[in-house]
Amino acid sequence: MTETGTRPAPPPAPRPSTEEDLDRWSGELRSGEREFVLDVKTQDLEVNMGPQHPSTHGVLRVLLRADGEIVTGAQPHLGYLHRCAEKIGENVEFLQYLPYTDRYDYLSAMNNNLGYSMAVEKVAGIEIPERGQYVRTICAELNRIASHLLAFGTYGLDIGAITPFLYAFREREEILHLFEKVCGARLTYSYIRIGGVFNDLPDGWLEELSGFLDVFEEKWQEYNDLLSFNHIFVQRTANVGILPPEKAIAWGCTGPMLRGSGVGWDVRRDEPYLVYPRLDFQVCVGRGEKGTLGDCWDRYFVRVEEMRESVKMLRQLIRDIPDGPVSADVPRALRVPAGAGYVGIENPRGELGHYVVSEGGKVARRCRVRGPSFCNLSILPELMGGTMLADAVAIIGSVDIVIGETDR
Amino acid sequence: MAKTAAEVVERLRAIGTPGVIGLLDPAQAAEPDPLGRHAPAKAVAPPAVEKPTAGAKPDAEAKTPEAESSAEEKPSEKGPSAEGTKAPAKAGPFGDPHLYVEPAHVAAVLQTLRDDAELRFEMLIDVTGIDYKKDAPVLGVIYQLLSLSHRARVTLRADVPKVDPAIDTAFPVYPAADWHEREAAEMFGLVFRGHPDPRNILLADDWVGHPLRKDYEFPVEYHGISGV
Amino acid sequence: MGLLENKLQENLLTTKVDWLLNWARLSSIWPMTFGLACCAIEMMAVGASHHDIDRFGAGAFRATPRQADLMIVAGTVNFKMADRIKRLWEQMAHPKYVIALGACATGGGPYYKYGYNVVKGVDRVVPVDVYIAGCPPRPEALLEGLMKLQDKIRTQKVVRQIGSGEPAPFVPAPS
Repeated sequence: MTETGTRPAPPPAPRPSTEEDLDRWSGELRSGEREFVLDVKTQDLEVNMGPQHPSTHGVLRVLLRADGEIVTGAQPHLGYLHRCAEKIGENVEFLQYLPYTDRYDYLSAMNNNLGYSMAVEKVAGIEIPERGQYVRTICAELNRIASHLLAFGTYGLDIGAITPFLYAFREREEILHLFEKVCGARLTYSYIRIGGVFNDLPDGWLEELSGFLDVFEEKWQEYNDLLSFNHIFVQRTANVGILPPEKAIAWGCTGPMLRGSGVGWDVRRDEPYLVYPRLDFQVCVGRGEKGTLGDCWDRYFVRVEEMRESVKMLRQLIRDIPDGPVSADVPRALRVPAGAGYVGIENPRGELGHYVVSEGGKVARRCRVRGPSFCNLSILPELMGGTMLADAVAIIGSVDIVIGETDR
Repeated sequence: MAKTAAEVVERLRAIGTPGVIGLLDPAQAAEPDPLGRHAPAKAVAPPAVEKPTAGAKPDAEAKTPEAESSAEEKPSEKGPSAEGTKAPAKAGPFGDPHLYVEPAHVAAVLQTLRDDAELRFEMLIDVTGIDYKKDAPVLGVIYQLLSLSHRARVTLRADVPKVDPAIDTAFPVYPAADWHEREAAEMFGLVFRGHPDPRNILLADDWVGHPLRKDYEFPVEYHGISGV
Repeated sequence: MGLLENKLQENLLTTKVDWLLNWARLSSIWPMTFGLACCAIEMMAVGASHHDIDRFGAGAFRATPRQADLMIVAGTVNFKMADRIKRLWEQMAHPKYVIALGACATGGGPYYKYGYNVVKGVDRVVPVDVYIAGCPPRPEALLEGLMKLQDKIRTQKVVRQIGSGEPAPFVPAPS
């Protein structure tokens, strides 16, 4: 069994093996070096990056084959956090499965809840009241900001900048504080449920959110000054890990990976759900400003710009939210009629899809989760061939994976 | 420009793509072997009706022979039950219609779906398997496709017999299928012929069994660590 | 446990030395970056500025187990990862401690019943000193767990004779 995969590696840099090659290859060599270069036979070094590693964003193992400083092959190995989510989906009731959905992409738990609830509602034919849709959209967008903040902070940490991480967490704590007021949990909410949301927003929450958004817009500028246009950061991420758009589409990449390569596909605009048709927002795509289109900087900056778009959307939602019930009348022991349906929503990482098959009872027959990080990560061997070892970290960070979602 | 599943089927038939059996409505798609193609004892049903949406009353009669086998698992079609399920505003079945294809021709169908100008499903979103029931004769293989240019989605289904669950890989058409097929293979025991790298992806290399099958037995221990 | 272990008889001086060593150790417990799942995010939040773990002296997260004192198992342990956890724990130098953060590391968590791939508690793999409940536990709970660990360290008798001087063999928790 070949651990290093069967993908063709990029051709290694030519190394002189004969006297003639050596003459052509370099000019002056000190005495003894000619013989040294010709006699020394090196082989590629196989190095494990992970599963315990500060920069792999979780328990990801990447088996790197390195010829000195140049990476000639990279094979991601998954499964170190495989928690059998799909098997559990076939054994517990629909509402009981909701907490498990929080835990696959634990950074955007609201969006996971949303995706699963929408899939079950599709197969059950449940309609959500207006206010419930607005509350869902508010939570989804706020969660998007929180998730992108963490992506921004940890990307800085990977590159070597520790301060942006602390700044990002300062704002993230504010958002988690808001979420805690709404549903009691900081990270794994189980707030968006089948039929709507769990309970209505507390009094004064929207005003508090509005105040936070005012503060956040100034801080957004601070993040850009601190990291995005920092000369060192740009040098480390521009022209690194270039992903051509055709490749991104062929390999099933979605979300900022795809938009960073210039493809303007966003499920919120192109196949809108919830309240998105009524919102006015731009889809952020990479433009190749700092380097080449589709490099790490583009993907990173798409996420930073999306935070600002989310703020715009949230202001519109706060302005327009109607009164009314937040949830349809759905029993806890829900029986879903027999059917099968797929719903894909725009997670901060890409398209999160749930394919739910119901046999007409209380327990699903199949609950398939299509995690965006799983598909985005499959392109890693293509991106890492021929780069430097230090760039490997930048590339993995720009994919913005969450291993809970990759492994489920 | 094919946008709904019915239009996709029509276009595929117009081009003459082999292997397209028809369209399944969502309730049929939730059942193993809805058209009785794999179970020898059942009577052959009339071909699936191609209207996927809510007025699906004529389908109820068409699929009754197969529905009998699972009638005990579908009580909710009778309307509001004693548990208090509120009857939805429109009549079921809800969900997505599935394009039912023959496994032998899956690669050709996918190629056409990707390349034909009116279809242009450029992106493969998902490949997965499904084990419907413990004693079902088939495993389903489900493909989700997305067309960026036409803003359309379609779900394909191909049934392979459990005794020989082999199907051609979609990797030459969509490289995205690589990891999805590896996962489906280890979870269900599906064999994707021609896959470049058929190793386990999520489970350990020495894992025994196919976990997402309905008859899977949970491990008692693994490498000295107890599993109960 | 080091050169000083069990070398001296009990007296006034050893009590002071104990106190000093324990104070030094508990004020500078350096954790290993070992986040597995969702609890890792709360561990990162503890490391960030709002709930600052650095005020306990434990803010220097070391990436390599060879330089770390504490392994905070933050997240679900599954069978594939269990071998690696064992190896990482063995690579840590004494004195080493393990905190099981969260329901998954404590006893399998929500994946207890149908998780075929989940180890029902990391104490089946490595010996655990402190268990912290929660899913995920609040950062304050992690800090309290750290303080409990500090209490444990405070009572350690480093230099005195304890029995034969051999460390007890590790027996995994009964299943």
